[in-house]
Amino acid sequence: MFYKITKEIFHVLFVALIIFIVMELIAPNIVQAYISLNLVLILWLLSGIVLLVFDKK
Amino acid sequence: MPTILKIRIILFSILALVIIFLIYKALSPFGEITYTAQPCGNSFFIQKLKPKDRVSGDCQNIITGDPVYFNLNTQRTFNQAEVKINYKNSGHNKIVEIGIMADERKNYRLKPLDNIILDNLNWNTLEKDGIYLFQKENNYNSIDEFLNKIPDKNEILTYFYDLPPQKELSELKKFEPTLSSKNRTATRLIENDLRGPYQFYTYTADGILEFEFLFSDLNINKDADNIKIVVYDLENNIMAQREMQDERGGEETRNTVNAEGLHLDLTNLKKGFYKIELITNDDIITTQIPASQKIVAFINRIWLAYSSNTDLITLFSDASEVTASTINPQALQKILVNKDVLNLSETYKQFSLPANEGVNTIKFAKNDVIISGSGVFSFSKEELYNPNYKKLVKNTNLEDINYIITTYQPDKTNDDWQTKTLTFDLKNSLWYENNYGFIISVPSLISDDNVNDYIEVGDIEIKLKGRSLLDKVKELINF
Repeated sequence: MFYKITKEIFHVLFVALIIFIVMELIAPNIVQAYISLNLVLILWLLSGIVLLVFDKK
Repeated sequence: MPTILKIRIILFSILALVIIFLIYKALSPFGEITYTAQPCGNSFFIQKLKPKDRVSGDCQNIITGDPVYFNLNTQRTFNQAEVKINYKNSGHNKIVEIGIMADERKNYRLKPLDNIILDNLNWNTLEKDGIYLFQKENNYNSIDEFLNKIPDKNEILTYFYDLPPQKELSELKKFEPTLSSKNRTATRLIENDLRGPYQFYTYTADGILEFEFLFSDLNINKDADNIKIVVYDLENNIMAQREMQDERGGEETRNTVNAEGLHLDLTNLKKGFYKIELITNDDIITTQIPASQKIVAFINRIWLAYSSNTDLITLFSDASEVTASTINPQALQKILVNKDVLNLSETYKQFSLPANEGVNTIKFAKNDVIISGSGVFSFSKEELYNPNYKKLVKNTNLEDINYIITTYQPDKTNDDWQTKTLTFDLKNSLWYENNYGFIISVPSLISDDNVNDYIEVGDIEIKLKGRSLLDKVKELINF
């Protein structure tokens, strides 16, 4: 279950990152004013690393 | 429904809510939003005071030099800003003002925040619709009575209130014969080179304004050195403008080239004062201004460009404080202001001296000096005339003054920390790269002067009001 939840978080963070970057390109600072894109990127990478470490295969 | 699907829906719903929140904050659909900043906080919207060498303290919120700036970052434009600021004046600073950047030339529209001179003034006070009249003796019973029968110009000071300027002056009648068309051959010449932009008042008795401006281009800065001359009447209506685009090239080469000139010849004007503004950058030197006008009084600031001429330069001014600065080490010198010496001993630093004679004489030996002050400057006594009323500044001598008219609300409380709210019009302000630029001006504050004076800034709250999304939609439909 932990693996599955982490996988969902990984996916949603990836989508969030893409949407946030597009939003930033359209209107600079629209996201950065409230949420650090660096933080989102780090969380996404961490979730990816967790997925690799606990890879079921 | 499988659990994992539920988790997926929850996570994507959170993401959708976050995106809606971000868009809502950026659009401010109801047209209002409030930003706050604490002294030690790290607000993205209300940014820290700068430059750093004019602020001190752990939170960089104690102002020790003048002026300081801060930016307000917004995602859209608004019409009005209510700036609520909490501050502590060390008690030495007589005047504190806040302004907003009005245009790309970095002109700021200032508003009074704190004025200890007016706060401590024990004169009779009248008030009507936010206008305050201080009078030494109780000669007027109402502000309307004062405005209907304005006393002598020399008895009045204004502070953030514009009395109607004197368009025609009986005192100038003596000049009129020399200004009439019949005597137009009496051409005069301003021979001192002037650097950068400037503005001056001039007077026409017969409706004719004739000026020739001759320029050279230093080619130091990288930008094109365009030149524009605008003529305003005293209500700031544009009467005429002339423009010259820089097609010479050669920027940053430091080769001084002739930049030709602009001719101004206006007829059929109403008799009276006009303001002429030269809009350009610091690369442009005005080498000559042949003119047939008798009065040429430069407003607030004049930069005498570098020249090898070693003649003594004399300026006249009605400013109650004269400030000098230079960027050229060769121009460091002692300047004589009336009988006092103003020691211009460092570059990139302003040095000031009170000057409380009606017409002050400023004498100096070397060019490349910026002389400034709240008033007008001229090269001869006869040219000096200020159609506007004198403004209250930090060193104004109130001895000969009987009336002060202002929109500043005097504050009789003696609290260390004060909170005041100022309203700014944003429609006529510059919004550049998502920022509105603010200035806090404390004219008496000088960094590193070993005087323990400061302004400590506490919380700042800025309430912005503008068009709602509905207004915008209605506008688009009507269009």
